[in-house]
Amino acid sequence: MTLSPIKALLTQLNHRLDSARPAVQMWVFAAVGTLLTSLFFFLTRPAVERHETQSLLATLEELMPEKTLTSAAFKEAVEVHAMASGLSKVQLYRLREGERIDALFLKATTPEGYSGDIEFAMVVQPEGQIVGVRVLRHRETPGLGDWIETARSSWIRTFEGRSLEDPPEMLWRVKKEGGMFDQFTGATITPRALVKGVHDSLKILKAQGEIRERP
Amino acid sequence: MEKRSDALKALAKEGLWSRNPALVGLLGLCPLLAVSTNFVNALALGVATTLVLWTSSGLISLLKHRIADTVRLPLFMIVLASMVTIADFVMEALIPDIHRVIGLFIPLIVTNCAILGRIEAFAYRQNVGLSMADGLLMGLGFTWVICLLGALREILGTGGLFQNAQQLFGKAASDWSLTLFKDYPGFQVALLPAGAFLLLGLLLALRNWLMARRRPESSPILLNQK
Repeated sequence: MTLSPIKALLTQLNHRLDSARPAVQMWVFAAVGTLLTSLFFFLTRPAVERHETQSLLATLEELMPEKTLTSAAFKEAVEVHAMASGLSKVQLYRLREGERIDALFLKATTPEGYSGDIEFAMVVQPEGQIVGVRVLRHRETPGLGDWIETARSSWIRTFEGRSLEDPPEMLWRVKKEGGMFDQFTGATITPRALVKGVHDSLKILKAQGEIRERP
Repeated sequence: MEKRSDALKALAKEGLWSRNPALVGLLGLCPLLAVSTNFVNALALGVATTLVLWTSSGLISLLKHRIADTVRLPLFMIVLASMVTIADFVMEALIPDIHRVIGLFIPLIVTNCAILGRIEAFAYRQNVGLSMADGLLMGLGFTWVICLLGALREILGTGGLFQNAQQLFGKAASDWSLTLFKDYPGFQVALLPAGAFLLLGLLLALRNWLMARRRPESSPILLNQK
């Protein structure tokens, strides 16, 4: 007789615990999952960073075979404020020869591709002429938009030797919009994104005072 | 022992053909259509999907007595998402060039209903060995379809096959690339999403035709599932 309230309490407690079980399971699963993914994140990061550096170095080597990114240049890399250009992750490496800045190596991402981000790198002389541009990463339509790759066409070389003054602002567009840069058959958005991205990068360099005024 | 090999045989037949997640279930169409622009990308995604399905099936089966029925779906998702994220990190580290192209679709493996479907229908109810076999075979079923689609689109679209194989298999594979037709003008549609739909449609038609010929009384695929 006297035991029954305790029994009832115990059953109730057990019941309560039962209803908490799913919550506990979710907590445990989430914790273990997070732990595992974090572990793999930190395990794989060094390799990922190495690959990124490598592809950057390979691009630089292609554009300026005689130059390489010294560890000093890496340390000096600056995140440049992209202002209103729409570019993101603009990173600048100043390539030095002694104290003198020999060339500017810039990496940036434009979101205006046909299928999202296009990441590109370019080398600019301190006076503002482009040495070359290469696309690092893109998801443009195969066969149409991928003409920005050097493996597909030499289109991207049309930037070589260009600067903010050459061609003048009005002509920094694709031909369809009255500019001087070719578009590809069936793909206007991709080249337009790159033309704008490259032009904006030059403008950013100028605004930041990285490009020397010509005497 | 005999029974076990019979069960495996049945699983293989179901995964690779009669209940193939891509051809019969029509599941996971988003990655199937988006990534199959060439053989190498398709293979990479197929392998990633298979690994995720294989490991998740094993884990879920192993933990099934610790999973309360009421919250099983969120718990499946946690396991799946963890496996997919790990696969994503590992691919980013091992095959960065391919990860660049198909990276967007790896997290989406989580939403591939073929996977959740198998876990719910099979791994949650069966023992670990059978579940892992089922996951592996279902994954392989998905992989061969996406690879076939990728190969067809690559051949039709560019006239070549196994391009960029070095991105997956390392430097030794850089001369695997075949040019099947010289001076092929390219058939752009095959590389575009529309081509993916057209070719998948033709594959389904071919499969239906084969099934109908074998068993004249059976109805088209979507109707004959029990």
